[in-house]
Amino acid sequence: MTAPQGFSEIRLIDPFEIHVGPAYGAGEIPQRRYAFRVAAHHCNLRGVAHGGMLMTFADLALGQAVWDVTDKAPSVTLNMQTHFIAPAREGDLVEVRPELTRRTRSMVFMRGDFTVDGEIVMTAQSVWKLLGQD
Amino acid sequence: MTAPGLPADAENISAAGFNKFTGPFYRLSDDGDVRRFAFVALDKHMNGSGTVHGGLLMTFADISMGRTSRLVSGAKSCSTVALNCDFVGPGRLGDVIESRVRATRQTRTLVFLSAELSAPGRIVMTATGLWKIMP
Amino acid sequence: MREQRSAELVLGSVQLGLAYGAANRTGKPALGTALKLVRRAADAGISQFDTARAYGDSEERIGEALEGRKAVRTITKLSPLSELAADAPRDAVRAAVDASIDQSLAALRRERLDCLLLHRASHMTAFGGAIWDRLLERLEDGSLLTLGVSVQSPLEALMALANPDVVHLQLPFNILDWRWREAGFQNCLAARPNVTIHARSTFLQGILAANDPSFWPDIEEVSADALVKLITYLTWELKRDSAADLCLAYARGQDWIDGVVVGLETEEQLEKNLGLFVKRPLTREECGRVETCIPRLPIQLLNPALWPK
Repeated sequence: MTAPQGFSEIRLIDPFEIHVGPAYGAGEIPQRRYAFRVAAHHCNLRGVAHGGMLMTFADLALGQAVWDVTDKAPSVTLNMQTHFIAPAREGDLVEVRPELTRRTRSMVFMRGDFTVDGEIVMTAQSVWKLLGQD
Repeated sequence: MTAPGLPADAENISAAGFNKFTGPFYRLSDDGDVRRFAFVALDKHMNGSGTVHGGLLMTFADISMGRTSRLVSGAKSCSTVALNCDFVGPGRLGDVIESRVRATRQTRTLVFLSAELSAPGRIVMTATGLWKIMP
Repeated sequence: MREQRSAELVLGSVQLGLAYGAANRTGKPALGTALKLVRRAADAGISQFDTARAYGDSEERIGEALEGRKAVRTITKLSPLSELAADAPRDAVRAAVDASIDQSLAALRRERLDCLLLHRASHMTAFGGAIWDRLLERLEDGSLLTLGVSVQSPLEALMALANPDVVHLQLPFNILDWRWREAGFQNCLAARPNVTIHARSTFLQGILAANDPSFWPDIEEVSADALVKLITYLTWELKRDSAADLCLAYARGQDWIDGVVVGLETEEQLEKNLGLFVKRPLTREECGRVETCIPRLPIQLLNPALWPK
């Protein structure tokens, strides 16, 4: 599978991410974007991308963004909230440009609008705890 | 002697699609009005730090809550509107992760649900969400 | 040759001649029992028997039990030759190789050995190649029908496969062992279709069938608890009768394996293992399931020689 125009494949480490991947990245920090292409095995019976896959991609992409802004500091997700706006379908390229909402010494608040061809399909907000920063 | 982990009557609910790709997930017997689901954490479910991946936990919550929304509403199909997940503790390889789901409120078009995901002896994740009943 | 039928049961006999195995609690059986076991196995249709010069009384017991039987094939192994000094001269090496072969022939009560394996892969090149040269000569003179190697690792296997006179390979393989499925080894194997592959250690010294984490070696990064849970779960999910059934069905489900060496010491174990071999092996899809469930484990676990004492 070739990467979408302008993107290159991200090197994934987690077995679960490798299982559902690949995922792609483009651009430089702080303008970095992430994407994945909806495949048949990402969908439910209605041919629509499963919410679980979109949330997994959100965790992956926002997590990468946290890594980017903290210089690869180890972190864990404390909370993720997602709103599902419109369906994504097989073949769609789902993209996000993560936005840093706030950063403290021990926590990072990261959000993103997930789009297909510029139309929002999902929004997500997440809170991450940086490890070893109590 | 290690117990099998899942009861013999656990029903495999991962027939197709993403559910099957990331599963298998099982439905267990109800506990009153609480619906129960479970899976065993396998290597493909893990992150690089030796704990169950948050994305997979959210997927499991979505599947178990979605299934419950159909059970309580009787609808053939429901879709996730919103889901909020708090990650409380780690799940580990080989753990049986159980989801206990309750519908907290139901209207003509919406179901409100809450779920608690746990490994033996500890809570792994809590979730609340909103599902829309499809016509 | 890789035919469509699944791997057959090869009777392993180390436990008939020595006390062996992490889960072994009973020690070597009495002579009468051993003979009865081997004959019962042959009567049940087992046609291949694995032994070695180094397995104590094993060759003698097999030789006596199978004397006169046709249609049985015995695979034995060259002595480890530990008595040879590192700088032993060529004719001392030659004599030691001959002694091992001749002792095997006498013990097995045969005129020629069906298959002789190196017990140590390093013997292929040791002593300036003197061991292997002598084996080739004995192959020429008809005392050996085929040659092979018993290996510990994919690297040793690759080196053995590079030798065209090697037509038999015995290797350790079990449900946890991801190394042999890698492309490098599989491609090499595909290029040598005339090599017979026998898998041993399918239960990894018995720990995989035991359902008890306390049998497992204590290795960092390895949670025996988690792995026992996974094996128990897979046994349930794939509707197998036991962990032993799952492990054997997985090995027999590998289309590149021709025989699975299973050792035993009691008649009860023989009946149990015979029962396992008539069951359906795992399908390719089921093998794939297993492989997504089990993590990539460290070599220290996969190679019992590296287990802490």
